[in-house]
Amino acid sequence: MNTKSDFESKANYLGDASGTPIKTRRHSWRQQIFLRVATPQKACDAPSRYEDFSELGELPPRSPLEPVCEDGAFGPVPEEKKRTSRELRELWQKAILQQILLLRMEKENQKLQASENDLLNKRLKLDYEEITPCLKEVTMVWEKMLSTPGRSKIKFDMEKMHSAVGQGVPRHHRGEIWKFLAEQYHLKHQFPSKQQPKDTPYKELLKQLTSQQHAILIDLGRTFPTHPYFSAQLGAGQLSLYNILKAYSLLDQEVGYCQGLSFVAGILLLHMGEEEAFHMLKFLMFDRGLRKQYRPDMIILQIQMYQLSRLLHDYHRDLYNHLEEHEIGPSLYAAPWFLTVFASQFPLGFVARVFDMFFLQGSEVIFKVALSLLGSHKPLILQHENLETIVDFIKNTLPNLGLVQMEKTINQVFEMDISKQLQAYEVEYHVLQEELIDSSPLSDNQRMDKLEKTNSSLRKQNLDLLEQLQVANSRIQSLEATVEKLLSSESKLKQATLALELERAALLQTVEELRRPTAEPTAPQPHLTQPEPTGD
Amino acid sequence: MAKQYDVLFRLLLIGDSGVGKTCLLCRFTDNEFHSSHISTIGVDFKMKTIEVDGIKVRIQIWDTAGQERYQTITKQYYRRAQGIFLVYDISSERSYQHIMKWVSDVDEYAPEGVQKILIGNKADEEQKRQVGREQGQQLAKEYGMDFYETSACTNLNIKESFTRLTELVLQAHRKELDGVRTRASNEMALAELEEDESKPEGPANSSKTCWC
Repeated sequence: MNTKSDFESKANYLGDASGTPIKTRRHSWRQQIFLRVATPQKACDAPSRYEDFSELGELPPRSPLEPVCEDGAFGPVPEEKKRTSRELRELWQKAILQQILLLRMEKENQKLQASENDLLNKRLKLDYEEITPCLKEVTMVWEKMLSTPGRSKIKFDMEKMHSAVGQGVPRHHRGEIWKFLAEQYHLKHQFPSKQQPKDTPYKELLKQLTSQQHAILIDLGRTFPTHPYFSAQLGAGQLSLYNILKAYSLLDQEVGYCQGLSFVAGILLLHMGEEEAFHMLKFLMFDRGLRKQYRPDMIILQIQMYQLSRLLHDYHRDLYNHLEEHEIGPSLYAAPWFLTVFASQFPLGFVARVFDMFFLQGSEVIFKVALSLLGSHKPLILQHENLETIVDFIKNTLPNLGLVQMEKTINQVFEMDISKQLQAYEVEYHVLQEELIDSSPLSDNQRMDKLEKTNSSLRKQNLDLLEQLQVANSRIQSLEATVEKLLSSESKLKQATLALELERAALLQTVEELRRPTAEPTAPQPHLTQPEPTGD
Repeated sequence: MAKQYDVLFRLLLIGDSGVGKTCLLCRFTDNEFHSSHISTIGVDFKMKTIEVDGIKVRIQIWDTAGQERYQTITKQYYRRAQGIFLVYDISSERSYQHIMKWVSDVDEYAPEGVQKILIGNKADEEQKRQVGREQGQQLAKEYGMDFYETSACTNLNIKESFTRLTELVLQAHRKELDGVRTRASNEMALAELEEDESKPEGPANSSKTCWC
């Protein structure tokens, strides 16, 4: 661009010197317009530049427009000067053009650098060992699903997604796939079954102040402290983590911030941008039911611990007995499994797989993984004969399980179904709690206290149930409406078929009728004449 | 090789989130200081055997999450403890103020006669100090506790404070201890619980020697 205009200007300059009659071009466009308007003839006919200039020189008295014409001032000056000023203008132009170009290049450079940083960051974030290495065909299946036009409005086959997740999730698409799974969940559950948060935009939340600031800040440096993305004090990773946790604490005032959440948010951040990670956190917490365990009374966590020990009792009785014998309750080793979704102790590749399943199936996955892990390590745990070594094994050795072991665990989880037991054991927990209160030989005051506590927790449960009931009712209503719609459309279709059948019959008749004349071409004659006699 | 010990105690570390409970513990048991470790989610514990008055004491030190709502989990471990460290951070006035709350929790959930000791941690961060030494001493006096300013970072008063609490627990259980001593001299295999190889008939006395 630049060199070309440079060349052109040079050509113009040469043209000037040789005195060829293209001078009109050398005037500024204002001058040209002016000349054309003021002295149309002369502007067109003017044979030489000198005349032009003399013309210009005479202009002032003739026209009041003159002062507007900035180039007019140069008119009478000798040609030498005129050229240099033009040159100057050209030089300026050139300089400006070059400056613009430079700025643009700088911007491009920055963009490139940023994208390079992004890539570097992405590489940094995804630098973990994949557990179920994703085959090319599976990756293609995912890519096809992800790139389906209008994806967010199409319900995909659940079986297909299930088997795809089972076969593996490619690391570099993982974040997108999680978003896709969340999208699909929303499509299939258009009537939310759980309490939903207010829909405050993320940017709005970021502007507010949280009362949890202190708690969040002290955990920033204690969340994946050895991971390069999070290790830099107040680096990109920690800042994003802070933003998400802060926004969440504002969105969900009841939960606010609970230790453990930072790990969940961290895993999300390793796979997507900050705002997206926030929305996925919201999804896991509210839609996938992760949030209840973080509530300030943490009763749900207690129930979960009870459920896990009951499951152990069902599936691995010997292990259950062994742990009981040494007074090792699940809260001693499994609390971080639940509260961080395995993220605080297990290798990232494994955690990522657990998250894959979590997005697909919800919070039951944690139980399944826990059960599967304990089951597959049973012989090793049984070898240890005291509290210290057993807990040390479960806490420190077990998480560093080998790739094969991890894959086996994940595959097992895909085949488990424990939802019925989980429900039953939750009820059982409440019943046991009540019995415990009834049977314990406590003073009246203590009894009173306990009863009050139970009462309030029951009240809370009641509220929760009421909420669920409302949701269920509205769902029933909408389903009924759908049924009605379907019924009416069914009757319409019936009518339509009836009409069509009639039409078909009529058409058949017509065909029949049409066929008759072709078979006996003479027949119509008498047929037509027949009515006449009857008419008489 | 199985280690031997005469008696087993359970000590508990409590205090606000981020005051350095885990660091104190790591310094004491492994003589290590990690500036980067993860937040304690739930409870954790470490072990160490020390000798006090010629008695080999195995101490099981329970480390807890500091965030208030974790109480639901951690309070279950209070009643198993014979000694408790109440920890605050000298660079955080708020963590000092909360000691009151922690003391009342101990009164509620821990067994009677539990030994307590007050710790002002991060004593190396003098330039950030918000709680004076005297304030710590004052508070400890009010509650009738011993007081130490410690630093896990510079290894200040770590061994001293852990040993002191162990001594206090030992003293509190002097009576039972005399029994242990005589028994210990009689049956050498007592409380040989430590390693996997321990014979099934040997150990199992931990429940006798451990007053929980």
